[in-house]
Amino acid sequence: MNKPTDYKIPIEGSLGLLALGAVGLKAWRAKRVENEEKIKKDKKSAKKGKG
Amino acid sequence: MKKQKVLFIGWDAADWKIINPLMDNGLMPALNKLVDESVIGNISTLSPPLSPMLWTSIATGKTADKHGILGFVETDKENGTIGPIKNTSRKSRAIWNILNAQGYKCNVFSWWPSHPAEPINGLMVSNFFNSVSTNYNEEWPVSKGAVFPESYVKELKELRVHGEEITAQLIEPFIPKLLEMLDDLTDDDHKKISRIRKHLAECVSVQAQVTWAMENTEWDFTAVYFDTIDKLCHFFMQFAAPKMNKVSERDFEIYKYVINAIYVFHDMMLERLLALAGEDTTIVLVSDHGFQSGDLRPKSLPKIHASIALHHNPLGIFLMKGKGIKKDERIFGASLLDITPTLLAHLQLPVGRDMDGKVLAHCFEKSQEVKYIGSWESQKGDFGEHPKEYIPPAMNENEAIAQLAELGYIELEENKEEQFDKITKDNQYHLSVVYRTTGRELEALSILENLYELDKVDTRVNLDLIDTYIETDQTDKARSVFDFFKKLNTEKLVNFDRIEVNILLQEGKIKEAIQILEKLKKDGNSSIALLLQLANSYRIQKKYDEAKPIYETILASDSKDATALHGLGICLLKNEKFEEAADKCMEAIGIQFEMSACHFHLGEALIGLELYEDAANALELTLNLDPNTNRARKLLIDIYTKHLNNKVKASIHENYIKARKENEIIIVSGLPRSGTSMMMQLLDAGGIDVLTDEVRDKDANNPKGYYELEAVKTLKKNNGWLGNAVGKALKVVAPLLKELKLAFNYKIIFMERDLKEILISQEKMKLRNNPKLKNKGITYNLKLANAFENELKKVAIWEKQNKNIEILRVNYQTILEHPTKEIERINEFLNGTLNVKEMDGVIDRTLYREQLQKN
Repeated sequence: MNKPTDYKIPIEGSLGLLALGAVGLKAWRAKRVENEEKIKKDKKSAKKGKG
Repeated sequence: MKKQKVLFIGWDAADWKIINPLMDNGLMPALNKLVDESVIGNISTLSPPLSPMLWTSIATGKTADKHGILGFVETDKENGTIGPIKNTSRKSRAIWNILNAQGYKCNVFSWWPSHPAEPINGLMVSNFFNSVSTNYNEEWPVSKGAVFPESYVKELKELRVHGEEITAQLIEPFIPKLLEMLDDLTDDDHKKISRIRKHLAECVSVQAQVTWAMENTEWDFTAVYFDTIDKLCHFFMQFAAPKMNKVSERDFEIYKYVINAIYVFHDMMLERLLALAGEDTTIVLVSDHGFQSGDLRPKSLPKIHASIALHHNPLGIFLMKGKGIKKDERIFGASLLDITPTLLAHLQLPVGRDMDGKVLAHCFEKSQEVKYIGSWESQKGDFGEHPKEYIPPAMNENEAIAQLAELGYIELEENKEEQFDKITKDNQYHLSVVYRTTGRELEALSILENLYELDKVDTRVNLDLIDTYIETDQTDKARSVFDFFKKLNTEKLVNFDRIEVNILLQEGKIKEAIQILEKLKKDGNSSIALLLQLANSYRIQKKYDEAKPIYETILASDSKDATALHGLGICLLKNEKFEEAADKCMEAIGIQFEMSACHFHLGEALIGLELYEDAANALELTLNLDPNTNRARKLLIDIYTKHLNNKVKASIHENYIKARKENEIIIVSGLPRSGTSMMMQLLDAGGIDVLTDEVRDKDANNPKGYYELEAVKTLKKNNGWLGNAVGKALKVVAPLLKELKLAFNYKIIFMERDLKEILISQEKMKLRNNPKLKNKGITYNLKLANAFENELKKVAIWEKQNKNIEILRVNYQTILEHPTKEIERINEFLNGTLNVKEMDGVIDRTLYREQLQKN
């Protein structure tokens, strides 16, 4: 349980990830940002598709 | 030189009783593995059990009267403000300050109280850094002074987690049904869940910050404190299994896993911390107290101050792992005060003689010589402290106080003035509890009497004042306060019978006490506590046949009452029913292992059964728990010599007694003019090396000399020189006895003389020294007489509380009349080391002019 890369990081987070401390927390937040960006991007593409 | 690294973890309220089944079920694997590599044990908490006081005692090795942290909140008399307790009120150096001065790089996280962060050569993050006061999307400010050095704020503030970041999936291990019941949650459920989110967020914030620092800074010592177990236990322990009557089926089903989940999460965090620390780092894991679980949970709390502490189990957890530390071993008799001295000894650093804790020598694989210094407080160096003129930065104190009130730690009053007075009184009360529970009842009394004058209705003050009067043998005062309190307390929130019985027992009216207890028993009003009092009263009177059935009655309603089992065991032992006695003692030990007296009685019962090997084991355990149980040591020497033919083991105990003697100082004490100089002269003649500087010359008052040492007068400020007195005799007047360093053993010859004679002798001495006073004549100073009586009571209490002193009382009149017999008694007390023939001629009765009958 030493590296967050050992995990598939769920967007909702996990206690295992948070128990890792700073690296886990940062990885979770990065995943959330990445997910938000993906959603934004998907929305944009959807709009474009519609347009 | 490379420093030995230390990771010091605090888990507030962690309890082996909850941990053990979790480890057995494989749910705390990291701790389970650590336990196998460590020395572990229970650790006794202190009173009052308030976190800031306890964690400061852990970090300083000192009781709260010395370290100055007296509660959750404090008042500032100068500007009339109230605020949460800050480390600027701490009067003693903490372990990280001491290590800082030794060149260690220290990182400290969230310790109680660590705000404002101290300027240590490392990193300190205060206990207010992670407090949330804003909504998730708002700017989350950093309290000024929360981090030192401030350069770390930028990185660390990003590692704070807000409660609103905690998702339902993260809560699921705490509430497994959460996701399926999201639509059915009540307002009360939402409040409970918010609480979990908030405390979990604070917990993961601390974990994020400490792990970041462990990876990204150079450190030798890391101390990190987590309070989430305690916080969640206070709210959710009632929902844990077995279901309590007051809890609904629904709530039980929803919240029964919260406590186990937070322990499991701590194990996961521990695994990470251990991995980052590395194999060579010393690990210390400690809780300040445990938390009552299962059937021991209180069903309700009385409406008295800080009653939430009644949830606490007085035994917390202790674990230590590292180079030179025993593996897979148990230690007994540890106290919170012992952590800092033990860590210092482990790091080969001197322990302050002014520390109240002891070095837990049984933790170490090899016995090592502990180095001592008088005090770390007087040492010069860079201790990483706030400068003397430092003024703590302003913070949002109202918010912090509101948070403490929400957690039930303080009660909010209507206006600020009342709040100010209440906090001042609370902290004074806390100090009185510290004094009472550390053998300084008279200091406690002076505070309690003041508080009583301010508020005669305060229940806690009334109860403590009565008990302290009883403890100090002032039963008349106890009864007077009790009678008044009884009239006031019409709601009968207090068990008056218990107090009445205590007063009667102290008055020596055991029969009357028993009558009350018997009546209550007959009327069916007797509680277990009262029955225990009754049985113990009979036992004190050696009426074992009367005591026995009462212990049996108690056990019929609670078969796991360890005190009753032990009491019954003693009754059986005294009736020579050794086998049954051994069974009962073993049962009691199985429930409450730390009862050293019970191990001793088991040993006695096993001797009665001629099972000497087992008896030796029981007696050895007695000594592990309480090394000062001399009667166990003497029995062991006897068993090893006469029955087990084990000269090596017998010699270990003989050497211990010898070593004690080598660490022994003979003290001659008493009130001034009670014959102390005569006794010193006697010891001198008997061949004892007396420690005197002869600064005070002999005179008409003491023609043979005073046998005094100037340094004794400043014992309070400096007692570091006491080591030079080992093996010698020293004169210390009664009021200074309490300043003796308890690192030594003392054989005290205490001179007793009629108070009137003492006062007249002192008056005459004054006249001889100042002839101008001659016309005034000799007067009897009543105030002084009272003060002297008080001093004698203090000595009696001090004697009771300290196991490293033995007192022989010698009456002045008796030694004048029967010198040979008394000298023999003194010789026996000092293990036959005196040349009694030389002593016989010393007593010159003509010198003692002040005997009343001769005047």
